[in-house]
Amino acid sequence: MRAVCWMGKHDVQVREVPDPKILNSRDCIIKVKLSAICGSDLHLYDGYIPTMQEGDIIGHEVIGEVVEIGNEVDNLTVGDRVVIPFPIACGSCHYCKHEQHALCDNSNPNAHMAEAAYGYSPAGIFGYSHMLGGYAGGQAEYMRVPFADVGPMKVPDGVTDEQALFLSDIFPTGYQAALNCNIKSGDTVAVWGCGPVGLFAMKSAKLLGAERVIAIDHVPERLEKARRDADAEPLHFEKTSVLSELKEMTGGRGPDAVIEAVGMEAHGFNAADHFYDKAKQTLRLETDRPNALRQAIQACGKGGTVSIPGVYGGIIDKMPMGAAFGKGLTFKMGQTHVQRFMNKLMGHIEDGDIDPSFIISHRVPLVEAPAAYEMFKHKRNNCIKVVLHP
Amino acid sequence: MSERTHGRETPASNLRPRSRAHRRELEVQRDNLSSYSQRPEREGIDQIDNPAMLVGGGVLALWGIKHWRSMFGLLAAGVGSGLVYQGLKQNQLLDGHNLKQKLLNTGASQSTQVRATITIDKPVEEVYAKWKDLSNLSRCMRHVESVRRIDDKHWHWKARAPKTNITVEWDSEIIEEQENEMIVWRSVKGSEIHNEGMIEFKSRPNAEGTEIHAHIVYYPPAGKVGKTIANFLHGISDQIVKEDLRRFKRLLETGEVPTIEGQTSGRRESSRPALPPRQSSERPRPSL
Ligand SMILES: [Zn+2]
Ligand SMILES: [Zn+2]
Repeated sequence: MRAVCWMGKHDVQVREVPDPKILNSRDCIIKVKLSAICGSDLHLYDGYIPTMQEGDIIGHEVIGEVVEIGNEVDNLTVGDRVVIPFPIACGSCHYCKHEQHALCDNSNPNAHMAEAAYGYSPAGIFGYSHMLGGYAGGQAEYMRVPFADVGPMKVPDGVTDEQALFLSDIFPTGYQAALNCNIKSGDTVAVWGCGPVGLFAMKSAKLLGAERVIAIDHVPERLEKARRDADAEPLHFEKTSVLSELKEMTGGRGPDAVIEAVGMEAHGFNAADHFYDKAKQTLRLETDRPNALRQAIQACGKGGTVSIPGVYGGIIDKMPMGAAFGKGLTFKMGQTHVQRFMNKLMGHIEDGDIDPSFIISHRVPLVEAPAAYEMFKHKRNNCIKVVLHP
Repeated sequence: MSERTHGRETPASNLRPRSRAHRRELEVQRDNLSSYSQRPEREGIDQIDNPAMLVGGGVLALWGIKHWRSMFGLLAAGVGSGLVYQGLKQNQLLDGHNLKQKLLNTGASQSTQVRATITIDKPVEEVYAKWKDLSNLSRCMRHVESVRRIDDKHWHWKARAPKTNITVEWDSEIIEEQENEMIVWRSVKGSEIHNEGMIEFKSRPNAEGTEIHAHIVYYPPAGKVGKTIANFLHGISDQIVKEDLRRFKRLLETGEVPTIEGQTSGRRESSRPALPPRQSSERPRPSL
C-alpha cells in the first residue's frame, strides 16, 4: 500500500510499504477513507519531536472502513464506517476507567521511553514518535487499529466522512480546551491561534455559553475565518498591542479564560522573546517556543484559567510564574481524551449545531502529501486544513 | 517504578592491605561477609558456610560487580539463597513494611538488589492467582524459555540471555507463601545463579486495584563461577524487571501485551518510493 513516511526533518515521502497486519486479538484493520494533516504533524515535519525513526508512517486523524477484525473484537463488523481517536486506549486501566483515555497506562509499548522523558507515560498515539508508541499512522491506504473494541466509533448514515473525520482529534481537542475553561454565561474567552484547534475551541466556547470570543493571530485570512465561521472578534497581534487591547475590550478586567492553541512552534507575539526562543530552540537549549503561552498568561484576568491544547514536547523557560501566581490562575492542559467526547460531539453534528467540515481548505490525493506538508507549513494558498484522499 | 542499589564497591587492589587503617577496613569487610555464616538454616547455598569461601565470593564479587550493572528480571525471582528470608524470620520481620528496609540492609557489601513495583487495576485475589499460574508468568518474562512445574513448591526454569545463545537453568523453591499477600522464593542447591526474592501483593484503598512489590537480591556466584554466568548476567538490562512487571499488568488488564513488533513501515529495506500518481496530479487547490 501507499503511505506517508517520515524520512527525516522536512522530508516526508509517499512510499510503497507492506500492508498492515493484525498483531493482537483486539486489533482491527481499516481501509482509510480520509486522513488529515494536523498542525502537530508539523512538529514532526520540523524535527522537534524526538524518537522519530526514518520510515515511520505518520498521520493520526483518520476515518475508514473496517476490513479485518481480530478474534476479541465483538462490537465491529467488516464494512463498518468508523472514525478513529488519535490516542490509543485500552479501556480497562485505571485512567481509561476514569475517562482519561489519553493517559492510558497500557497502550504505549515504549512506555519506558516516555517515562525517561516525562516521569510517567501517556497513551500511545498513532504516527507520533516511538516515545509515544511508535504505532504506524493513518496517512496511508490501510491502518492497523489496536484496542479496536474501545476506540473506533461507528459513524451514523446521515453524517459524511468529512463531517466525522475531525472527531478523531481537532474537534474534541478544541472542545476539551473550551471545557477546561470552566465557562460561565457572560464569560469572555481569548484564543491564541486561529488554526483548526483554535477555531474549534472558539466554536466550542460558544457552544458552552461564552458571551464573547476573541481570536488572536497574525494571518489575516485566518482572523477573517475566525470572525466569519466562529463568531469571534479578531485581534491582529502585529498590528495592535494585544495586552492593552484585551483590557480595553473587557473594561479592564481581562478575559475570564485564555486558550493557547499554538504550541511549541509559536511565531513572535513579542519580538524580543521570540528572538530569544528561536535562538535557544535552534541550539536545542530550549525545545519549545512558548511566546504565545507567555502572552496568554500575561493577558489572563485575575482568577482566570489558562487552557493549553497546543502541543509541548520538552522544556521551556522564562515563564511568567509571578503573573500566574499573582493572579491566582488555574492551568489545564494535556492531550485530549477523545473517546470521552466523541458521542456527545457526534450528537452536535447530527443535530446540526456544528459542521466540522467548515475547517477544510484543501482536498488532495495521498500521493501529493509532501507538497501539502510544504504548503501547510508555510500557510500558502490560505491553507488551514488538508484532507488526504488515499 | 524500579530502582537498584549496588553493594559497596571496592576496587580489587584494595584486597591487599596497604596500611594499618586499610587492614582494619578489610577486616570489618570480611566480618560483614562472615556474618552470613552465623545465620541458621542456609541449606540453599552451603558453599558459603566457609568464611574463606565468603571472602572468595567477595573477591569474585569485586571482579564481577561491574558486569552486574544489569541482571535478570523476575524470572530469576524463582531463585534465591534464602539468606534474606532466614534473616527476616529470625528478626520477625516478615511483614511487608520492614522487609523492604531489611532487604536493603542485607548483604550490603556483596549483593545486588532490585526493587520494582506496579499497580494493577484488578482485585488482589485475581492478581495473586494469575501470578501463581506459570503460563502467565513465562509469557510476561521475555527471556524465559521454559518453566516446568516440579511440584507445588518447586519449579525448574530455563532462560536465555538477551542477544546471545547463553542459557541458564535453575530450580526454585517457594519457602514462604501467604495467600493474596506474598510469595518468597529462593534458588536451591546447584543452581547456576543464586538469588532470592519476594513478591508482595497489597490491595489499594477503595478496591482500586492491587500493588505488586518485587524485591530481589542477587549474590555473586560463590561456587562454580563460569564465564557463562558472567556473560549471562552481563547481557541483562536493569529495565527487564520493570518491563516484566509491566507486561504482566498489561496481560491482566487488557488480555494482551500491546506491541508494534511486526507492523508495517517505510524503512528503506522494506519499502520503495511510490509510483507517480496514475492520473495527472492536481495541484493542491484551495476550496475555502
Ligand atoms: Zn491532530
Ligand atoms: Zn487504558
